[in-house]
Amino acid sequence: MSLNEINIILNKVEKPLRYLGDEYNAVKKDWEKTGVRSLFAFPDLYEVGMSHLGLKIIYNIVNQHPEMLMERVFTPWIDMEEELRKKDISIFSLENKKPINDFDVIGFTLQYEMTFTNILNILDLGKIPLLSKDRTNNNPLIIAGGPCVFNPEPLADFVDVFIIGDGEEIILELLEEVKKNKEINNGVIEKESLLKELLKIQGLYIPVFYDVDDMGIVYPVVPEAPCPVIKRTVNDLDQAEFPLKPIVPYIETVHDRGMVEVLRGCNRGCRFCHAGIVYRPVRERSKEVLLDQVKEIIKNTGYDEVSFTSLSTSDYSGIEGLIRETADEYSEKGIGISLPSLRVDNFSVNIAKEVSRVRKSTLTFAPEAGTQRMRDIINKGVTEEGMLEVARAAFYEGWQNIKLYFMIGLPWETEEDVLGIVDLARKVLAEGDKIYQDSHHKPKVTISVAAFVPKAHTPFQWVPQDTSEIIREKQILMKKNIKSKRIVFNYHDGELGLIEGVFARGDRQVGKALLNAFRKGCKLDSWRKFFDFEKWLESFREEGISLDKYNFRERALDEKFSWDIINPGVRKSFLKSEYEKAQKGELTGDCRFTLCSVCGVCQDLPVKIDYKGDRKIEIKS
Amino acid sequence: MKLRVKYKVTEEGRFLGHLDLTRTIMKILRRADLPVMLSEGFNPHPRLSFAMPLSVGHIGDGEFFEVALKEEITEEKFLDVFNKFAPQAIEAIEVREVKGSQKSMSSIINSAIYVLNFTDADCALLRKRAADILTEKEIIILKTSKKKTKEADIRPFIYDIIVDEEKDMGCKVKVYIAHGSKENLKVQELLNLFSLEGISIEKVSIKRKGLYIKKDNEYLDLIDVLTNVG
Repeated sequence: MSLNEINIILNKVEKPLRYLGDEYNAVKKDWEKTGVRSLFAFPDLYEVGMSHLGLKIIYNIVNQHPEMLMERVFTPWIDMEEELRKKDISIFSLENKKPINDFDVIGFTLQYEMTFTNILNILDLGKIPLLSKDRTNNNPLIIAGGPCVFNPEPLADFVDVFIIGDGEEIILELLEEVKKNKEINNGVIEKESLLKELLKIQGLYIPVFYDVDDMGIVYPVVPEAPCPVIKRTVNDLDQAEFPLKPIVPYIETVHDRGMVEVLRGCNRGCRFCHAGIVYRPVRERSKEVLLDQVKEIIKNTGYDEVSFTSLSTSDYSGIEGLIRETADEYSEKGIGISLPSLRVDNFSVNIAKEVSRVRKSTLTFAPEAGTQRMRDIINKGVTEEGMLEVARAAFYEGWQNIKLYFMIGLPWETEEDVLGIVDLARKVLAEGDKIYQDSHHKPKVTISVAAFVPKAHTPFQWVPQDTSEIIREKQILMKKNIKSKRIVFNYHDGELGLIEGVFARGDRQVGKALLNAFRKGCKLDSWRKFFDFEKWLESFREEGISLDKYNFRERALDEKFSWDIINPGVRKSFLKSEYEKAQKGELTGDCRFTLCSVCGVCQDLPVKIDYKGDRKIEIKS
Repeated sequence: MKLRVKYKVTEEGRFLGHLDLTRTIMKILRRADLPVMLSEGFNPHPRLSFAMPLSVGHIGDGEFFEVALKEEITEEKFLDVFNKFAPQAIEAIEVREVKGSQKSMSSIINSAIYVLNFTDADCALLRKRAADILTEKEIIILKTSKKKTKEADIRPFIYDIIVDEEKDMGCKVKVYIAHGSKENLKVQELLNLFSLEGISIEKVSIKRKGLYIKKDNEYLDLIDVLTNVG
């Protein structure tokens, strides 16, 4: 791609730096001299993709290999897409500005179902045939990883190879095979033989070796194809590669800070939570390793904030020491700490206090549901008194605005549960009013209420999803009952969630509707102003896909699922018993703090829970 | 101590907005572990100040910022360390200590020199146009602000225009204009005056050569000023 051509179009777009590369720590290798060329394709904007830890991890691992390179591409904003299409220029990588079809391998990350049309759009902008069967040896191998691959079937017609589970080890194993294949075949990948070789790597789902029956159930058609495909896991986070020299974007990104991953996985066992199943078991990183990483990352990036990320950072066994030692070392230099949402307990408020030594950010908690009954159904071990105690502590420590996350549309939800959210918000605010009664400050509570979308491989994979009409009714009910102006109510209409739901529990058939919707112009669906519900419904209708079948029916307990082809380690029997316990409102403990719940991960996979706290964990069989 | 730093915004840096640039410089200072003085308050940040912001899309040969440091450091050391940790977008070229109390940079700057690079224009035409502009007594253009459109005479803000032909490289037009908090001409407004038959201004690349304090016909740069004082 000539730089001149690129410069001309970049002059015309709103944020050229999204496409330019050249950031500090970006790796631009010699294209001609590097044997294996791979591209990390993030199906969302640069600002979103550059905030993503997985990209940083994989980019770092591949680029450390002397004979491999990895570059980046993101979904272009509409102005850039328009220029590319008008001038008939292929979308290009940020580093060497190569048309994406020139790469050997393109890897997409599937973080969210509503980015699927962006995947097709990137391929299309790269003049690469969308369907695997239409691609030749002159096109890249298309691979995909990330949480959504645990239900791969909606994308099975488009993706050659799915990577299931942690990508750290498997990515190099895969690229080594690509390298060998290229060497044997004079620099061209021979896909048929490559895919056969890849069958030997554990953790890959390669759709060409499988077929589906009338019910969408997947079965292998060659004896070597694994059934089910078992996810890969990193066993020791201390030994795992971690990016200490991450790219520093020039423009502000969504999470514009250094990142260390304190632990992976979560055993809390919230029954709606997809990540809580597919990233099991909990594996912690040692505090010493983390402190070293923080030091290196700050030195190598110049960020003034470092984030301790994970699914549940306040559960990290060494969290107090980690935060205290980091704050002691860096608060003088104006370097702050950021945490994702906190667990509802007093301990979290202490942590937040420590964190706020440099910058006071908003405090966010996720009670998820408004009544005790519902919190028990979803296995969220939070009580109302606990929540109020935390609120008191937080207001007392000087926070004036508390943010709470909730969901509506959870299974067996009643009007009382919905109103319970408003009620809890009111009680939290009342605690604030008590503490601030002699002050001119007026405390505020912000509630963000999402509509629940049932996901594959969770205890709620059997339940029907609420229709958008019911969601709307519940939202109106809440709105009517919020009397205080100091309770801010954030919500979205439920239509996007319906489409998300189809892909979250969809089979290969829904991929046809995806293609149809893309042809009709659907893209950037997660941006509300581009989401076109009517076009989606039309695409479903034309492919004979009913929302009833995928979203609104209760599934039979013994039903086979199209995603059974993937094994996340957690047993289906465990999910079933969790589903049954949910109906009775019975709780299941976290094996870090109570007994092992025998979910199957530590029993069936070559990985064990790695908890660095004092309690010794006994894994039952 | 306070340092005034003269730096370049390179070809790679021309799309950085002023905020992006500020954030980038802050990160360089932290990577370099320079003893930067922090502001007080809830959100401490390095005490930095800038001269006139550079427009997005322009490159700059003589841009300036000032930074307050907690400890003494030699000018050479600062320059060396800063550039070691700078990305391709910017490069420091000169550093000078600001001694005593000095007026802020933005209050003393009153002019700028820009270079307009016409890659495929006829130099003779440009030369003629430049001469015409300079002989005009008054040049009235329409200035649009948020609320209203008004007429303004920009001729007093154009000090000089010099056209240089470069072999096979098109034509470089150097313009000396008013640029500051009191009197100011946007370089784009001057460039528009060249948009005539036979000249396309679409592909012109713009470089700000420097920010100056103009006294009579002398252009002093912000580092020279400090040298003369010290």
